[in-house]
Amino acid sequence: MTGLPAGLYQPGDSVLHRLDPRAKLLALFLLLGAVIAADNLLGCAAVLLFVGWIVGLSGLPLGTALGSAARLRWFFLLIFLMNLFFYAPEEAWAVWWVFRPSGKGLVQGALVVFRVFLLLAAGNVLTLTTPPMALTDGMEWLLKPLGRLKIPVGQVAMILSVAIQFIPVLLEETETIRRAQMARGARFDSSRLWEKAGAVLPLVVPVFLAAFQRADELALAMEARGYRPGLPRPRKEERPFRRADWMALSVCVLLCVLAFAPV
Amino acid sequence: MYIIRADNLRHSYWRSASAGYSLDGVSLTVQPGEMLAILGRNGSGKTTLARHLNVLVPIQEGELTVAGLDARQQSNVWKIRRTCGMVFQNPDNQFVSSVVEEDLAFGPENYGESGDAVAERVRRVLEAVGMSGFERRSPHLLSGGQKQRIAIAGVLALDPQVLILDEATAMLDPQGRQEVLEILRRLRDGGEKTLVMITHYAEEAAMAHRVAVMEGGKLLGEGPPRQVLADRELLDRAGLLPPMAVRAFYDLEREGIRLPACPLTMEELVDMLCPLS
Repeated sequence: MTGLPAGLYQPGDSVLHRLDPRAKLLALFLLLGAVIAADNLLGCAAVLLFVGWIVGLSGLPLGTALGSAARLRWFFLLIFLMNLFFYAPEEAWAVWWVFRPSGKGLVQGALVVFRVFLLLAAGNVLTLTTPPMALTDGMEWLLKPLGRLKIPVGQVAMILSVAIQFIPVLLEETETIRRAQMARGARFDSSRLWEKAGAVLPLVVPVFLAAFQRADELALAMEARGYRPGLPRPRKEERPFRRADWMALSVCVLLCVLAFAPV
Repeated sequence: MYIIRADNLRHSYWRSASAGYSLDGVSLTVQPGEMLAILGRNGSGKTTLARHLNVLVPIQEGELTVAGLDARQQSNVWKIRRTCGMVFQNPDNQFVSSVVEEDLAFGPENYGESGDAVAERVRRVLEAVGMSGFERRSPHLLSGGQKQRIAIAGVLALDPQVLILDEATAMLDPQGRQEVLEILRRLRDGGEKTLVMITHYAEEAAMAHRVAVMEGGKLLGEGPPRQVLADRELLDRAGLLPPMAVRAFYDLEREGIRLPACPLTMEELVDMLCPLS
């Protein structure tokens, strides 16, 4: 394995590393609200600055912090083009076959890409600065109200945490399998669409098989170490939020209010 | 007094018996503090046997007692898993956290421990596998041998009486294998833990106190390594190669050079050859 897979916790000692995971999770939700609500230039600038600020605070190299968001560039391009061509057909500048580019579409496309990118970056900063088990405990705490609806909160939190950790591992595995299939003549690099599409199946099937196998082994290893789904894990003594946690939350609330306020 | 006592264990992964048994009437005992190597090729049933010892598969037929606990009783399962730690083959699929100390704390926390007691355990087991100072590191960034040492530490954190290693060195490079074997040697000489080592390398089995050979779900034979590993006929029936040193002993014998005894390890072979020159 070359280097740490993107998106996994990076030990550090920044302000963000030291924040309470619960506060960080809450802050992410507030930020989610703010990013979705921001629809004018001022709001967008505010959330952009804010995300830039937390990336800076995290002390992580820019490439690491934005890495997994940048990996989706083709997806971003696709969303952008879809919006550009199909968002407001009645106001199209020009018509060519089914494509009707419009000014509204341009703005909408840019906005969607902007929002998704910021959220990915913010989420990335969260998982990069929070140890996985601490994040699990934080999620469990946040989901606690759902426990009353007989939802197995602890298990859901554990599933989410393990899933987050295995994403990079699976990405790496996908890459290995892709190379193996290419070595046997698969045409991922073909410019012909049907050849490309045909090459996907021999990629997807082994990746899924490998994922199930990994899941199976991990489940055995967890059980062997005494993990019992449904049994509550001991709570780490619940420290009350500290001043930094409250401050982080206040800033996010403020940002939310700014974003939602009509200009 | 045995710590593990298996009596006529039988297990099939299929519903109909005609599909054959993965475990076909295995009886076995292990004494506390002993190191037992279970030697067999792929599909010989050795992993199935290991999973029985930790009750990761239900007991279908036969009896199994681990540390005086009857494995057939559902209420004993978790106590047995605490008594019997298990290290798996692929080090990548055993970690629940990407931070070493969190991963090591996983086991003790599952049994309700928390706080300083856990931190102390983590410190102790890291020292036991010679990896102090790796608390904040990510297992993903470690070498195969280091990963597997962390996996061993994760199991030792539960302070089990028995440690089962299911081909724990099979996916490691030679250096990683040496690292892990060194830890096992230390544990064996410490005498506090009972070790059950599943392997298909006869060379590794040489370090055990006793070797059991499996094939087709059955136990073909068992005994001290000096006896079992030098038994070419037995190993041949199990589809295994004798250790390099044993092969050299018999090859030399065929050429008319008779060594005083059959060596098991390279070191022994060298020691016997040197006086000859």
